[in-house]
Amino acid sequence: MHDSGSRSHEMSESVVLRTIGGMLIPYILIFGFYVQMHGEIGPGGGFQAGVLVAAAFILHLLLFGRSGTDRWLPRWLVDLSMSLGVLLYAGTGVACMAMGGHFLDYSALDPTHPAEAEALGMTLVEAGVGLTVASVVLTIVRKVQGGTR
Amino acid sequence: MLNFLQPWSLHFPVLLVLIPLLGGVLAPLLGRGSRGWAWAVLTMGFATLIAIEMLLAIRAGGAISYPLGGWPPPFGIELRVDMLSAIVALVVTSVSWIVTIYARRSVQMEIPGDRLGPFWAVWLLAITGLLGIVVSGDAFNVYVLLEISSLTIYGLIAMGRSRDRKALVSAFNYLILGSIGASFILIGIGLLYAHTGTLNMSDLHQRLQANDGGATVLTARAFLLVGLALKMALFPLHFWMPAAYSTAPSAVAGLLSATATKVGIYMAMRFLYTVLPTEGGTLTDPNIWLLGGCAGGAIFYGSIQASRQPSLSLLLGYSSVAQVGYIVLGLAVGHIDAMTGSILHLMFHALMKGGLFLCAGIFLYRLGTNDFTQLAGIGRRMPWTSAAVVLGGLGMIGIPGTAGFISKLHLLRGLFLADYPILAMLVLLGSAMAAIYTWRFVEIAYLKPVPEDAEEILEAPFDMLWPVWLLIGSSLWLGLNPAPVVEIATDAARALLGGGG
Repeated sequence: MHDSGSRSHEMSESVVLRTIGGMLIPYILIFGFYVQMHGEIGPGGGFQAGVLVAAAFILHLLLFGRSGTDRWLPRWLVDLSMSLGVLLYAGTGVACMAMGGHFLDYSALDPTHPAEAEALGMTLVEAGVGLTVASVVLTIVRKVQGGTR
Repeated sequence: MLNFLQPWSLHFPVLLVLIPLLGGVLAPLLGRGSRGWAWAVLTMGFATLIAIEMLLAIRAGGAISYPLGGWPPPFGIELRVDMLSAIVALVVTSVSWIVTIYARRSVQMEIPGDRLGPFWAVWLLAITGLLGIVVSGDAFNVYVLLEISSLTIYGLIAMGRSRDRKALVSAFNYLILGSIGASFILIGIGLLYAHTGTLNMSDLHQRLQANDGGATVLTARAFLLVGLALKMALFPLHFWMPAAYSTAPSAVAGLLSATATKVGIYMAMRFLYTVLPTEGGTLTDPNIWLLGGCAGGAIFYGSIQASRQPSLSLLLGYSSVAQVGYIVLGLAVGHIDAMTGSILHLMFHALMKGGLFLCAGIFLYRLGTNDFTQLAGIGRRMPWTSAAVVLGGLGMIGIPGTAGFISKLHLLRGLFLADYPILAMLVLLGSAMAAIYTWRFVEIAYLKPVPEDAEEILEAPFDMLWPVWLLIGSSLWLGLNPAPVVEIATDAARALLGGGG
């Protein structure tokens, strides 16, 4: 709690907001993961899920301030996941190419079970999209909140 | 072909986009110092290798089509690389590779240390977007990739703020104008899609050729022309460019002048000849006079403005306005020689203007400014850099023996054969005016005395100087041995005018 001094003026003053908001965050996250996993067969997918997951962390940021969120979700992890998401997406495509298909031709991942391979490929790609969207949205909000620095 | 690339030869079009993309997202993970730079050099070197191999493959076996995800065109998204795309891809990769090699010192001086990782990421992502536009065979994907390259380029220009606060203003102006241009392009593509129901470029062209759709397609053409003119900085929509190039970090100015406007011109060639309907392979008269008029205005206005600018960066920016004019003039009239000249000028101008902007960056690195008042007598203080500026300037004029001569010769022949002597006169007039602004540098650098209170300065460091001389030297070498380049440019022009490639 070495940073409690700087935290106090960023953190929301209202106990009600902090408590109710804190209770909501896990549900927003779960809904985000649901939309993520639902993506390849129904409405949803990485973009929507990424924004939902980011919304949970943005709510946390508003309630507990910058340093409060940094303890749960370190800055380096957010920076890393921006790159990791794209790597996951492109890596899936490159894996398809290495297995003899075209870029993002998922059925090449497992020629004996093309349907399962398509599902696997799509899930991986959507996960990459979700990871990048969530971390980029969070980063944008942080930058706007923190001025030009 | 190099052996280790053999199994991947099918995938060259997509690799060309993937390599800088992966390089870009990995760059910020490498941390501070020169590591990001070394990584960018490695990435671009690899991309250049792919571009060379792809050009050779197309020269031997014709255009390459690549179905993304294995979905066949026109239903899936197609990457399509013909001779023109391969040439532009090679220009973009090779020049940006050389500019990247050059950029280490100037970027370390102009960009704060904690921004270096993101800087190289954005740098590589901008190149990713530009290469994506070049290889895409799908009109909507062109728009998406255009946005990728534009957004990253706004960021790159704004990073000039630690040297010059005005970079923020010019980046913002470019952001507004670039977004308007991109929206116009999107509206144009949307109208074409509404009329035909397809986004695949060759499919679009066939359908539009069969049924040119009256008002819808005419409106689409108008939106596309204005949007593309903004993106390639064609007079009178050029005004964002000199400000953006002179305030951006100097390496960024070199990169953009050699690649971004060139890709804009490539899009114009692609949309006007292989997407929108043509009349027996050429544009209609109103189109020719509109584009020719704008191009003529660009040559005249750009050259006049260039000869009265207070600094070398601004001079080069306005000179680029004029050079875009030459290229557009050649692509408008639809004669094979003029088109060849246009494509040649696109390549040569990338080499020469890239090299010249890097020279301006060297002056900035050593003197902290490249205002002409500070450059008096610089020819004796920094002989190698100044000589490179003069040789690049001679190329701009089109002195025999330089690359600029070869491209202007083709352009002039095409304009005369297509019976546009007025436009040909403009090319000659513009060349004479290029002599004026080049002479202005010669006079300041060699004939004026060194100011007495000038500090002792060294010639540029070798690792900045050799990329500059590589660019300027290769433009001279191509001026003396133009045959192979002229051959591939003629191939590309023929494919373009034959409608599709």
